[in-house]
Amino acid sequence: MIEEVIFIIGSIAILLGAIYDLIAAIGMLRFPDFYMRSHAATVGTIGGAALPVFGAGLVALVYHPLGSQRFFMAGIAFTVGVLILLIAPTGSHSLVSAVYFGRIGRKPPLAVDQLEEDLPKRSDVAELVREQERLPKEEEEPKFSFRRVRR
Amino acid sequence: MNFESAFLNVLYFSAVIYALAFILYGIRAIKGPTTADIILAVDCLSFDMAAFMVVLGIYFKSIMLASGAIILALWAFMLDLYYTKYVLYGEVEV
Repeated sequence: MIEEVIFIIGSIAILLGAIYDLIAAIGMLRFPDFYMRSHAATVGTIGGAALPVFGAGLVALVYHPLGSQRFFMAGIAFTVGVLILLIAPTGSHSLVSAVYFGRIGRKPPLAVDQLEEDLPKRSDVAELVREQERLPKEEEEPKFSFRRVRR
Repeated sequence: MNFESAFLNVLYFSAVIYALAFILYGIRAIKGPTTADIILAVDCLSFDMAAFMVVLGIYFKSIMLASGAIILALWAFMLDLYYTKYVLYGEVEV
């Protein structure tokens, strides 16, 4: 009795996750700019990947054709689910911050952008860098670095 | 209740929907205007592929297929972090 209830809950989670995934894919294809697409991407990773993995873990706990391997399978499934729950928001946040601060692509028309007002202007930053810059002496060899001086 | 035939029905419906979603993500990954769109689409694609690999591992009764999902999820996270470090700092520190 309890095994059938667990199996039905897991199956519903898998099917619901597939539907979430389709909705997120349609949104990813139809939204006009990058920030809206990142919204669709978060729906697709949490609802479309973490939910069916937990559902598959529940199904694997009671799926008897696997034999005694079903506990290993459930452990792998729960591990992947927790990893996705930790990893997907972090990755999306770092990607969006890279696009915003690196000024990649075109910004959508915004009514108010308070983060832009708080950021220092590019000319101010250049002036600060020029003030703090220490010119290398003649005998001092410049250190080799991969870092780009100016973008 | 026969679990094997019931799970076959669940897999039949979910595989069709997942395949459709993979195709739509692939279209966005091919025609994305900037590199960030491509990275975002590939990111979603690999997370969902990891989820689908776990479901397929239950169907094919193999642990080896499911344990590859951990590597795939971590690889997608690595792609995000490397792109961020390359764009913001101009280098990839290991």
